[in-house]
Amino acid sequence: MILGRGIRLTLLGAAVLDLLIFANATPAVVIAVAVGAMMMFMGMGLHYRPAAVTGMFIATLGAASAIDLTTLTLLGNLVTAMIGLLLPIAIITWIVLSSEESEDLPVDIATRQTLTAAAFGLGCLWSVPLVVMIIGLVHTGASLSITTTSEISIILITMTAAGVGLTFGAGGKRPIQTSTTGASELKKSTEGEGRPDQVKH
Amino acid sequence: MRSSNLGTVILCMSIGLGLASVLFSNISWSVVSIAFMTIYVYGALRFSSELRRAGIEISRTSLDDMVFAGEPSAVKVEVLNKDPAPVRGTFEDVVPQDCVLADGSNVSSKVLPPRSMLTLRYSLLPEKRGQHLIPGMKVEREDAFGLFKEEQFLEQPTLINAQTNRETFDAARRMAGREHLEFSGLARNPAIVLRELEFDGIREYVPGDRARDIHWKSFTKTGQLMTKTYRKEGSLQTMVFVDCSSSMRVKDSSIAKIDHALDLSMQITNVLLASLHPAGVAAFDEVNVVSKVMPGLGRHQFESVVRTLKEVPGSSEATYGGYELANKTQSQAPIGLEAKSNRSSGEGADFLDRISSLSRRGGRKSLGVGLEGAIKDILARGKGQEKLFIVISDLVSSRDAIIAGAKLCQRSGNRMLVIHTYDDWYRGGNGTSDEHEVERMYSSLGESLRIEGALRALGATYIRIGPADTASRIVRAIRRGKT
Repeated sequence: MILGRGIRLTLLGAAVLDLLIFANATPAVVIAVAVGAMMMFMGMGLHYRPAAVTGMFIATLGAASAIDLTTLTLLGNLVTAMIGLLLPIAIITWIVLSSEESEDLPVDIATRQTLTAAAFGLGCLWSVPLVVMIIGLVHTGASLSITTTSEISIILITMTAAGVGLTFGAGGKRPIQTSTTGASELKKSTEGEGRPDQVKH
Repeated sequence: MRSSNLGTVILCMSIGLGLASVLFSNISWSVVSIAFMTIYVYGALRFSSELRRAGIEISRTSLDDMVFAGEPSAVKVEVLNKDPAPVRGTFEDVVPQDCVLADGSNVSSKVLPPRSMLTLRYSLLPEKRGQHLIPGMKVEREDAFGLFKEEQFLEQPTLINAQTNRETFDAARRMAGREHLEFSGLARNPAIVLRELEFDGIREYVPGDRARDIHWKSFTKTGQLMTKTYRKEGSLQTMVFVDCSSSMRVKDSSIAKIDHALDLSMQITNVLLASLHPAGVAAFDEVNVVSKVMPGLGRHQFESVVRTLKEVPGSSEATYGGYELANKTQSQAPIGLEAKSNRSSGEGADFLDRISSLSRRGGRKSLGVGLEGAIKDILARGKGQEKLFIVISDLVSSRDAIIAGAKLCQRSGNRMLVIHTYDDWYRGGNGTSDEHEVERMYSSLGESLRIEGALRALGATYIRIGPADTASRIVRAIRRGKT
């Protein structure tokens, strides 16, 4: 799937609107989100990532401060968190960090990395109801009311453990052995299909 | 894989928002933190898969056939991205240790699109003669989000063999036209090249002698007819041997002995070839002959000589311990007799053992077997023709072999000229000498005089040189008999 610049800007606008819809739109929040959105669009237009990232922080923090979630054990709150915060902020972050990319951005949704990251995000969000469910199943007599701080702790512990586990195993240096034979053969084969692009320095 | 500045900021924001959510008891901040971390994790997973998959091929070529020390040499590098994903980062071709970047740039910060090629062109300036290795290319990669960086090293060694300075070649060419090395004897080969007749002496007149050869001046004095005799200068097959053992390659001043020896050998060979003497050159070390070209007079003989000398290894900077230990062994060891080996650890011990085995009494004098073997080989091919062997050495590692070679020449009726690159004259130093140093220099000089005596007793010609001695001066000194 190829996402052109126009599509990305549209997605960005939609995500910003999504944030505003779910937030309690006070004037301060609207101004913060508007300023952030403006900086994001400017950064995208100028291919300047720092400006876009700064705008992203302003917009997302403004919107998050306007949404008051005290518990994730209620389905309504869970849906609000998912659709009103997690999804639009993830999309905004992804688009903004790709602001220095070329015009057409190839996107492959069905890759292992995308699915793993999505599972990570949803898993962290759903960790609280899951933990509550498990406690309820294991200790049927135990009280199911947990404090906001406990819910936040569950989220943070899950996020830290999963985040460290996934990023720790990633990467690792791999020196690439090269050969001139390989390069020349590939060059000949690519010249047969069409000359490879020359990036001259 | 490490986090870039932006990645660190995102991570810190995520952590900060998590702490803020605890402080303000607001789960919204935690959800924002989850969103940032999700993208961070996605970026890490995607980048690591790109790194595992990446296929980058590099191809490097030196564009100059002959590379000279002190002159820039052009290098072209092509980097091919075989991967379907673009490669972002900085590509830097590593410059060898004794080279500097003369022109162009060996660094490029680019996004290399899939299945495309990046070309770098730059010039390297080798500071000294010898082999210079370009080990490979350093690539500092970034991911698409700018959150992570990874430094990779692509091993693709390329060897650049730098010749001696171009001035040496120019000097050789100039000398070939001007200088003339006379080391003549009667040539047995009837196909001689007659350059000039040289007055040899007078003898009693024998009927049949030409009238113009009569020495009238002596007739007026003695009343007896005497005939002048002349010596024809014939072509003399000459082989120049250059010692490239470890002691020759130590550089302790502005010029290394090996570099000076190579320059001299090239210039002397050119003088000989210009005088139509078949000349060849060979480089030998402690155990074998490194490279060799037999004496000849072909059109491309000098090119063959230059190519052969290019293979000689380059010099290395002197380290105090190894250099001192090596010279201590030289000063203690009498000619051809045992040498005490100082026990020291590591590389010094290996070198000393090798030296001591060279000069062991009754030991096999074949170490430096390369020189002896090469001389025997040339004599065997020579069919009895008189030859001249010029040996340029510091007489440290290969002393016994050279003495054995001189004996061989004496027995077979050939000639040897030993050009001794006297070690103390090639040393750097601060100009001040303590008592120990002065004693060492005196003992070195005494040792050198003993070696000179031994070589002269074997019929070899000997000349002691330092870094200031040029090939012209050496050739003239030989011609005037000042050896």
